Amino acid sequence: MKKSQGDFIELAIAYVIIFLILREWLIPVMELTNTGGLHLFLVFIGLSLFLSLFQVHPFLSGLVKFGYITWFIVFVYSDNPFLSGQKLPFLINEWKWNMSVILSGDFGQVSDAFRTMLFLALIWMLIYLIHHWITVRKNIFYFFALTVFFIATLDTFSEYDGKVAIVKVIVLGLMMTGFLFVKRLWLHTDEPGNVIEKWKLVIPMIVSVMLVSTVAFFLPKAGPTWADPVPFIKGVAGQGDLGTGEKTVGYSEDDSRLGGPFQGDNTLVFTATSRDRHYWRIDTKDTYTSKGWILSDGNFGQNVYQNNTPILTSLQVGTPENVRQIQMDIAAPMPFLIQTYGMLSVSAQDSPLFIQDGRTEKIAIEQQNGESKLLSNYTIDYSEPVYSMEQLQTSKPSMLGTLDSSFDRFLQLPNTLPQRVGDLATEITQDKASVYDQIKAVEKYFSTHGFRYDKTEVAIPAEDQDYVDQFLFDTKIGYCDNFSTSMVVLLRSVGIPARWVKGFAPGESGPMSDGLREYRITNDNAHSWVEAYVPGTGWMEFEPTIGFSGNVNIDYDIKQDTPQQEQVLQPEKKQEQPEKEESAPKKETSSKTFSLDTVWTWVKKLTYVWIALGVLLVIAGINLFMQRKTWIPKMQVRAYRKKEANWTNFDASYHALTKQLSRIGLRRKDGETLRAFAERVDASLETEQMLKLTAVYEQHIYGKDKQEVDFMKLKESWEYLINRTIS
Amino acid sequence: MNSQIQDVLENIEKVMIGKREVAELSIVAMLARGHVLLEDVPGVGKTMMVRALAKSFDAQFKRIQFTPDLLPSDVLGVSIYNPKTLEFEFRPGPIMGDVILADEINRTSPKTQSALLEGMEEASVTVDGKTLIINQPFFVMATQNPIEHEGTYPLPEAQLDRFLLKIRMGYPTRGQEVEILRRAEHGKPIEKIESVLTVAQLIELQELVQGVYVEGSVKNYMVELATQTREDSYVHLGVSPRATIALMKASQAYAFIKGRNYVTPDDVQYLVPFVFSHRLVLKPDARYDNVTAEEIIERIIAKTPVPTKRFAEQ
Repeated sequence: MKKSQGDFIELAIAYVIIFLILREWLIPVMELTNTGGLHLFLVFIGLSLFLSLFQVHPFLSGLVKFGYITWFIVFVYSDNPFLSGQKLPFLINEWKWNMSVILSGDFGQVSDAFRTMLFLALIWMLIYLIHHWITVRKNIFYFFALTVFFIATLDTFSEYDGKVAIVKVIVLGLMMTGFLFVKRLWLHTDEPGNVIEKWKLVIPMIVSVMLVSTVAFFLPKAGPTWADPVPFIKGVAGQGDLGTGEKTVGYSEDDSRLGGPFQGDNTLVFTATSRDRHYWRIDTKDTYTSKGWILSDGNFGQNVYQNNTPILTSLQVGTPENVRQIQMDIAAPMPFLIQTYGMLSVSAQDSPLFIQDGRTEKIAIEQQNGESKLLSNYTIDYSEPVYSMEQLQTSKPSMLGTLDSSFDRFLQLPNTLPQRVGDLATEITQDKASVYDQIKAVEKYFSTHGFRYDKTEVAIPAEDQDYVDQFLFDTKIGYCDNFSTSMVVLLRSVGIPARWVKGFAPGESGPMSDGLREYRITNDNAHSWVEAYVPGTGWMEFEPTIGFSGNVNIDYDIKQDTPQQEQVLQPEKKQEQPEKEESAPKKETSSKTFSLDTVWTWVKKLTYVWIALGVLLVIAGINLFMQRKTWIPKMQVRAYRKKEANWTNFDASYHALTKQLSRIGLRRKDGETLRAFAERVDASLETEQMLKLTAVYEQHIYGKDKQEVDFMKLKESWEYLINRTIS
Repeated sequence: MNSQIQDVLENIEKVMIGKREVAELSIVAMLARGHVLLEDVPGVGKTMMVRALAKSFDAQFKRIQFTPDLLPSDVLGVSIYNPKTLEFEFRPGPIMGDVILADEINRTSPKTQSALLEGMEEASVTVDGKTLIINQPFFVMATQNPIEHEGTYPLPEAQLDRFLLKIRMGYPTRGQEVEILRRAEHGKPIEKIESVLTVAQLIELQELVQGVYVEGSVKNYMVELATQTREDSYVHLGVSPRATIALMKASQAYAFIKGRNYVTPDDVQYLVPFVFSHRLVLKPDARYDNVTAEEIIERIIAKTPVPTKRFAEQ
């Protein structure tokens, strides 16, 4: 009874340390993902450890944890009080929505609540594993090593500063390992009674931990001996110079110098409640400078609209039957409208004026007295345009020659544009029968020619470099600005009018209620794409950026001579590929899109990386060999479990056991009899099983007749011994 | 542990304190139809041991005290003329008993020694041209003072070979000696013990011992140990094949005592010092280097690989 109580106290201490280490894990995760409510997660960890410590019945413990998770989600994500009856529909809706999203492979669309649930479930599993590590294996080293590695990695590759955390974790780890070591020491001391003697064993451990931690805390922390490895690695990979300053993502006015990495920023910009998914259009630019975008000169006039008056743009609208509404809630109000494709009119309180710039189609919001106004709520009426495929196919390249001079500004290109850009454009588009197909060919070009989406490893063009040329031929790594600008330039090179559009990607959608869905658009969703002019149809939007899917409704109509407006009866379901949002774009960087050439340059440039890899493999091999005493027996246990119980297999298993014993240092000497050896093994491993096994084996080899033995019992003894040798 | 032997051992322990190993080894020799040479100073209980053993088996106990003037006929027996029958009648000597204590065997002349030892080996004596078989059980426990003592005739190698085991008795520990005193305080404890087994039962056990199985690999092991003694650099004369037979017989008996019907290398290892040490003739170097026969045997045991597979599988 006393012993088990001692065990309990030991376990409790171990759990406290585990809790503190897990806390160090959680802090950077929370910090980097901008998640709040650390204390709520800590409570969950504490709760799980507590339940595990008291060995609460798994069913009951599961129920409690499940209850906590439910409460957590309702408390954080639902406005309803926990005990109100409305939480159930909320949860059911959440569940339905997320299930449908997951089943359609649209993982980026899962809601925060669901993500939180998964995270809590992960913690749940982790704690189960840790419990196993501590109580069964009595070795938590791997967990600890992983913690150090994790924090060191975060410290290196993210803005998280792990200086203090590392010291804390090391101290905790020392305590943990020391504590477990002492526990094993206690297990192996023969004298059971003397508590004071036992505690004397602990003193050196406590003293050294205190000493090390004190010294570690007060030692001056040296700066990094190596330069920051991230640019170093990039330099090796041959990605050229990086911009000195990072930008923050988000909508901004000045696009005259594009390029360079930027940081994420998931500040909410606005929420839109709508039936459909939209690209949020704000502004267009027409003049490319070889470094970025500016506006052309000239007077294009303004159009002034009021509440509910039809707003005219150069874009298409859908049929009057399909008019729907979007409710916009702007978190950070801007003095201009966030438009959408198919926009018909806008209404807001206080009857503001909507001033449309004829050049950019950007719509400013002004009060009646002419001052600019910030609107936090407004409603957009829209009817999604549907384009007829048949009509799109009628756009012959020859029709481009007949365009009037108003399209000139959409065909502008800088004189310094390298010839090869135009050549590439011609090459991409030459076999296409229609302008639409040409545009589509350029749009698709990026996803099949080794381009990669990345927000950080993006180069800034040097003084004599062209932004598009650099992206198309040198780096092939970039984000939406690179892709969209390049597409516009390529289109213009072959005479297709195109312009650069700025705004926001559709954002993260929430669960559906009453046929409407709430989309949350953050600064991370800031985006740029392309509008191109298809003769006979008009301006259309295109999406060249890898990892984004456009939002165009195409009616793949069979030949019909009816006018377009009447064809549109049943808008087809959107052409949505499984798409991930900008919030998780790094996953798009799949090696599939690498061309062979790029791979080969990588291989050549990274010779020593391969050498390092080889060395690692060798080390892993050596490690495997050195660790054979732990993994071989496990395989043997599995192998012998399946084998039939007979003398031959017993023989073999006995020899395997002696071999394993010799691996852990219990080697039978030449002149040592099996029995003497068995006694030694039993004394060393504190068992009696070896003698039992050996008695049977002895009889088997020295005796005359084979006797009836209980092989199952022998197998048990054997497995027990093998396992003893591992632990 | 064989239960009958267990009874005998417990019986002996009533008089012999702390000498269980000696008793056990004596029984081993008895069951293997061999004889024991006890080498020790007088007064440590050699006689008591033999008497207790004899009494436990309800066997006839005889004692020959060897003196320098003892004649072979004093051991074997003598033919005496009977005037009534007008014939020579044979009066059997003390060798014709079941359990014989040959005390201080190295005090008598080699002639008398060999008379006893030949009788021991052949289990028969020839007197006046007549050969007389000595019936089983026939167990001789000879004692000798450590050979350095004055006035002794050391036993020649060939004679020593006839003893299955050589055992040392040793002094009792303090506690054991106090217990000996306590028991000797009131009368002689030897007279209080009773027989546990009969002679007939003893013979039956001897038969059973011969049936104890010795696996080929174990036989090989014994031979290997014997060979090693012949190759050792300190040894002038290694053990003879007779010694190897003795080792096997003793091992069988020991295994039987331990309740097994097969011999293990443990049995062999345990018995080797008792079987081999008195048969080794060491070179003078051994004496200079202060190496004893026991040490040499210990070393040989440590380096000879123990068989861990059946003979056929090797």
